[in-house]
Amino acid sequence: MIPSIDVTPTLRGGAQWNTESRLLRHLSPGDHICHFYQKASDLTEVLVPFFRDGLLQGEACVWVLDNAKEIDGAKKALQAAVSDLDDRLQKGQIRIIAAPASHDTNAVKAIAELSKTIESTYGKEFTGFRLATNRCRVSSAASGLEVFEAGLAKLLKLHSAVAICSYSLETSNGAQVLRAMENHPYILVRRESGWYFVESPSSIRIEEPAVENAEQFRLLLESVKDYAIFLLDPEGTIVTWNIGAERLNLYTGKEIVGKNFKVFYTPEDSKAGVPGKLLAQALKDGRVQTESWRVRKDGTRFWAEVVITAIFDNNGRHVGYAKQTRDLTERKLHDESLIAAHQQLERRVEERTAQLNAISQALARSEEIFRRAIKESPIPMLLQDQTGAIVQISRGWISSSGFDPCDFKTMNEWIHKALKEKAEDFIEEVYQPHKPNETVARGEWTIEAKNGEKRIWEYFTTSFSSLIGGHEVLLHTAIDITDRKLAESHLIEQSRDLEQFAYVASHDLQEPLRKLASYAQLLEMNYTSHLDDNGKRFITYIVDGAERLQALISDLLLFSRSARDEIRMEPTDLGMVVKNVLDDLQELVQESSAKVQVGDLPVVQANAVQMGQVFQNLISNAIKFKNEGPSEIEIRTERQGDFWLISIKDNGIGFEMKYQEMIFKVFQRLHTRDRYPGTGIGLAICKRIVEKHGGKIWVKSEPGEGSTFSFTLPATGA
Amino acid sequence: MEKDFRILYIEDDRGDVDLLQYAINMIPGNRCHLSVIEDGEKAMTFIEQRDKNPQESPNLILLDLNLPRVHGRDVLLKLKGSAELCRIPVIVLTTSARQEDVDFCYEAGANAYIKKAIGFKEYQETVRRLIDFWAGTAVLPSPLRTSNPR
Repeated sequence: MIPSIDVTPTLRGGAQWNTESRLLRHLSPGDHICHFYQKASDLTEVLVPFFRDGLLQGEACVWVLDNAKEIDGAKKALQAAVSDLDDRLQKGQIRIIAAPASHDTNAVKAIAELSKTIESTYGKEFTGFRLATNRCRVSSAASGLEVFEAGLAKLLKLHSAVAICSYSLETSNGAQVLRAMENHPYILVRRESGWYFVESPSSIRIEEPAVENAEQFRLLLESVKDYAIFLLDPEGTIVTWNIGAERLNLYTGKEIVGKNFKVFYTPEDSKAGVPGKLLAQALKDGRVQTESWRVRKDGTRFWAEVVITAIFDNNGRHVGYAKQTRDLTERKLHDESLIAAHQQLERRVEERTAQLNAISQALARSEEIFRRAIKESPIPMLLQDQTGAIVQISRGWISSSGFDPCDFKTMNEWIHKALKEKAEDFIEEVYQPHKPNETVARGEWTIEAKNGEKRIWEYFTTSFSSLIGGHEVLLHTAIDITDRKLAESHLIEQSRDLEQFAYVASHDLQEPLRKLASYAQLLEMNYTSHLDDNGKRFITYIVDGAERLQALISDLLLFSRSARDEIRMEPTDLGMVVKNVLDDLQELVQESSAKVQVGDLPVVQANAVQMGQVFQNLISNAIKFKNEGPSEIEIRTERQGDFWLISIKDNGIGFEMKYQEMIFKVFQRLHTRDRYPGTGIGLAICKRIVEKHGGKIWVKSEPGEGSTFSFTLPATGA
Repeated sequence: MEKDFRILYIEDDRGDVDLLQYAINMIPGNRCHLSVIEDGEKAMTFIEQRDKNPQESPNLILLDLNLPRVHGRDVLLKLKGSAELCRIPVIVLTTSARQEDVDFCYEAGANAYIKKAIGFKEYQETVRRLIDFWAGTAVLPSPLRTSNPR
């Protein structure tokens, strides 16, 4: 037990405490001291001797620090004063701990924890208990300080312990300093000359001359910044002044001390005697609180909350007043705006929460849709997370590869099962390289299905950087092109057959035909004398039929080649092409006395031979399908955007537009062979060639008025 | 045409042979002698024998391409690879108009490539001009080899 020492004589009147003298001498069990500090050394200056004394006295000690980082510094400082600190720490005589977080927010809990700490530390082998706790962070909870300090006071009484509660003057505001002062019986405050004990204003019971005590109180109050706190003598004359008052009222201490506090009141209030009335009421009730307009030195006004407390000495003699003033103008505005801001904040939080809920629901929905879409897709699709685990797998994937989700858990497993010896190549080319949010076609891969069947997949991978739960996922998509590939190889075979046919057509088919025609002619030449008119006519039919068949075969060959052959495109002067065609058709042109007008023709990227076939067909058609009278043919060119438009206009027999599509089809003819001989393949060849060159061909015509065949060719490079 | 002009026709179709014979017969005052080999295989044997046992060669060889058993292309290569017959002009006479065939034949050393016309009159005219040129205009090598350039 701490020996009961009567400290009253030394403490009263603002005893100076020398850190070298024993603090213990000033303390009695249950003592609860408020300690204001500015810098770290202010803490150790008081607390090191406090604990040193306790330890040497055989008391149990607990030093509660603001945070764990300070523990080492505190230990070092204490070690310098107590050489065998380590032993004492080990023994459990002293514990240096960081304040639990609850110290800031929950005073009741903080007290409960402290109580546990004290009980667990305070054993019979120790003669007493002392505690230091740094309350610099106590500001946050509204009534936390009062609850904490009241609780602590009870604890101290219960355990006959003493405690120092340290408050930072840097981080506490004026109100907190006042509250701290009000809630501790003693205050330890640093002045230039050292540390002083001051009795709390709440417990001031002045026995010695008030002035001396007030002087110490004044020194303390002077450092309070946010409140105007000053003392008045019984008549209302200002006795002390602090920084807060200077800030609020704009007077310096020199200017104002000694003047009557009436100067702070508006002329109206002064006239009405308000200041006097307030003092009288404070004297009568002990305390008066008002809110009203006050006047600064510069004449401006502010809305103030004023508390005037009457001060009595121990004999009940009225020695003056303590007056604290707070500018409520800003506070009021601030409160209002704070409330508004708070409400707005709450509204926003609600809105935002609702939005977030909606978004997260929508996300969950769309994620669900996305996964369902994959699941039900007939196309092989697989979604994996960044670890390679399978997130979703499509029906198509299962049906095409034969592997279902039971067969593999990771993408890697699947790759090795389905790609076999190609697995490493696949990983290197397809699986590894990907950029976020990029889809890449990675070519064709032959996979081996579960049943051993080979399937050809055209493979795509897409990475999504934040799709599901913000993680990266990879979407694998494949197109099963096995059937297409099969069809393609059939097509290649068919194309070979066609080539064979082409050869047959060009040679084998023509041989017998030639013989037919030749011998019919021989017969005609040498044996006409043996034949009657019918016989002669029959021979003509044979020759004509054979010739037509030969023409058909060679046109058909041309037609099949026009589509199949790889043709070489080169800059081709269509003017030259047309000139050559006209040379070839010279005889026909002369026979029908046709007039052909050729405008400027462009140079295009084309195959000259095929272009020749196009012009040959179109020009000879124009001549062939002529009206009575000479035919006039006009070849024109016009630039239309990226294309050349070439048209061949005649004044021939024309046709009805309902046939415009038919005439471009193979073997489709509008006229009898007798009048207009032809195979019916020419325009089909033209269409194929023009389309192969990237153009279009069409016709405008009217019966009896002639036709205009037009086609386009890309003007690239021209 | 003062001398006999020996033509070897490698052709499997009897009708074509007759047609050629007719066409030649219609050339006034011609002294062409036509001998025929009916298939590619026989042509190959003929060339081999001539190389082993040189005899008087024909003045002109007419070759069809579409031959049974051994294709005319191979016969052409064999002819142009023969020590004995390589100097004899070879005229490819065929119904094929394929550019591939044309190019192949010239590259293999054919002296001309002629597409058989469909009608007889035209065909006869072609043959007349052919014989006229090779038997009348062109100067030809000796029937028997006199030099050995290789």
